[in-house]
Parts: sequence; C-alpha cells; structure tokens
Amino acid sequence: MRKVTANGINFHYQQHGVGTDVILVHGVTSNLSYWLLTVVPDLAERLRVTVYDLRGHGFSDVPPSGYTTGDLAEDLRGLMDSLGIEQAHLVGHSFGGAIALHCAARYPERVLSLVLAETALPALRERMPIARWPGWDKLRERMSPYGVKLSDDPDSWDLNELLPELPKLPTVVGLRRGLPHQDRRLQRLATSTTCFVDLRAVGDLTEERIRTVARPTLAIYDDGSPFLPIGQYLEDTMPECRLLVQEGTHYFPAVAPQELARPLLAHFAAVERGSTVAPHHAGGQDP
Amino acid sequence: VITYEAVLADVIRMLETIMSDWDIEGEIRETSLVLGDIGLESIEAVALATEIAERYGRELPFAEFLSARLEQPEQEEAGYLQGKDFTVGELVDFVTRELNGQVRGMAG
Repeated sequence: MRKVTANGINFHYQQHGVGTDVILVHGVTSNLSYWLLTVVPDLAERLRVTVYDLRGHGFSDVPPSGYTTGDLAEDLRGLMDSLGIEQAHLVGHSFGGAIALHCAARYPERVLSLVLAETALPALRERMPIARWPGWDKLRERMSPYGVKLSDDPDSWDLNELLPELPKLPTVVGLRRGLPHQDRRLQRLATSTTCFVDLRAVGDLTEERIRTVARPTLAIYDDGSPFLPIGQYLEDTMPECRLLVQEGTHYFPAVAPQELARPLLAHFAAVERGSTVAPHHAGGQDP
Repeated sequence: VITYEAVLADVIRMLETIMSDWDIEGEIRETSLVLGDIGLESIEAVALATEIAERYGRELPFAEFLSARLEQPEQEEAGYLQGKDFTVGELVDFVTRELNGQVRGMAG
C-alpha cells in the first residue's frame, strides 16, 4: 500500500498510466476503490491517473477535524506538491467535486480543468430546494422498507442527513453491492471526527467566489438528481462551464463508468485543443 | 512451485494486518467467509490485492475471480442479495493456481 505525506497527514494513494495528470477525488464516506476498477482503466490508457483516500477515509489518517471543503482542498494541493504534480485535471464525484472546485478557486494555476459529477456545494444549498425536487416522494418510498424515515417537511431537510442512515441500506457499488453496508469506517468518521458538520461549511467558497472560477469545467448530472439545479447554476454563472445531463443515478461514475469516462476523455481532448468555452458564453450574449 | 499452505499463511497474515483497526469476531481462518465473517470492503480488497502483488511480484486477475464468484444469477430477498460470498480458502486456491500456472508456463 503506497502512502504519501501531505499537510502532516499520511494519504493512501495509487497511480496508473502515463501522460498528463488527472486526479480523481471521491465523495464523503467513499474511498479510492470507488474509481479503481471503474473509470481508472479507461483513463489510464491516455493519462497518468492519481486516486487517493481523503483524510478520514479508506486507509488515510483519520484526524479529528479539518473536513471542510477548504481543508480538503489544502490536502489536495499538498498531495500534488508531495507527488510532484505541477498541474492536473481534477475530477470530483459528489462532495469530491466541491473539494476540486475549492482547490481551483484558490490555486487556478495548478488546475488544467475541472469535472464535477453530481456535486452539491455548501454555498448553493438554497438553490436546490428539496421541496421542488420531483424525486422526493420516490426517495421516501424507497427508504421506508429499510427503516429510514425522511422528514415530512422537505424544506427543513438536508440530503446530508442521509449519511448516518447509509448503514441501514444495501451497498450500492463495489465488492459488497447488494449486501448489508459495512459501517465501521462510517461510524469512525461520525464518532471520532467533525466531518459531517464540517462538510456543510461554506468558508471562502461563496457564490461570488464560485462565479470567478474560470477553469474549463464539465458538470455532469443525472437527470433525476436533486443536485441538477446546481449543475444548471454552474453552467449559467461560471465563465467556462458546460453542463451535461444524462440518465443514471447519483453513483453513475461507479455503476456505469463508461458514462463518465467517455465525456471525460472528450473534455480533456477539448481542453488540450483550447476549445471548451460553452457557446452561450463565447459571444457574451444570452439567448 | 508455491504450496497452498504457504499462500494460506501469507494471506491470513495480510488480512490480519489490513483489518487490524477493527474487531473481527473470531480468528481469520481458511473457512472464514470473506464478506460475511471478515466483512471485507472494496478498499480492503484493494489493499489485499496490492499486498499480494508486492509479495509475489506480479498482479493477479482478481477481477476475474470476483466476477466468477460474485456475479452468479442473483437471488434477491428484501432488497439484499443472497448467498454472495467466498471463503479465504477459495481465494487462496485461486492465488496458488495463478502463481503456479505462471511458473509452469515459464518452464515449458
């Protein structure tokens, strides 16, 4: 198992392939295995792919605090320094996308491009009203046989409240797919760290700041996702963001890795050609 | 040629190290169910594959082993898959065969 020290923390990581660097950032409660047998093989044919376990996750150290997107963006920058990666494409799934975006906001010169898959951002919480999400009733129905009761009032409810409930549900991806959740790591994260509180912090990644991130960005969202309004907002406000909406689930990068790998490789190729600006921003006029 | 017993001892030691952060019920042994008894997660399977590759000097096709073991026609009950698992012994058998197959192939 390979470890690298950054920001005073030991991170478990793997690298595959040769070429331009791309770093894949997993979501909260996940780990690098999320990417490994799924999108890494396709990407590693053309790029050097780095995957790592966030602090508190997988086989990385588990410090008691420092789990805001800003803290984790510093970890990512530190990891790049320690591995000698000057610049990289950053790909984040879910909360991992918030980390990648925060890193690009602080260190744009280190980021070749961004891919945000199913990402919600603490600053944009008000822009994804759960009450207006068509999937709400279906989610409540799906959860109830497992004893997970969602609030009667979606307005006062936050999707992050699902995190501690995950052990009650069958595993969605990976080795234990369809089996009861293994909740050792989740319990450790919940009881010995501030992660689940920290991840809601806006910090300096405010709406205004998000709108200034001018790296070529591909936002990929599921058409039934509660996060879709975020993708829409990012396309409308970030200078170089394009939104791709596709059918799938929140976990599509692992469930249907081709659905991520294909647009990813096209996006990287376009960035290299310098032709990524979304058409409705290019002319400076909105339809 | 490496024996099944030698690989078994190695794999059990690796699993004990990988799982050392957690309390596992009972000892890890040949008959332990990898998912049910040891409760292995994907990230721990990744760690085990890495340790095995380092110990024996090459990567083994674990994805093939896992899909053969785990992608049988699925029986679902109350949202959970039934009967999806394998023992430490079955895994060790696969590793031993792979390692020795390679040795035989090289010899002639």
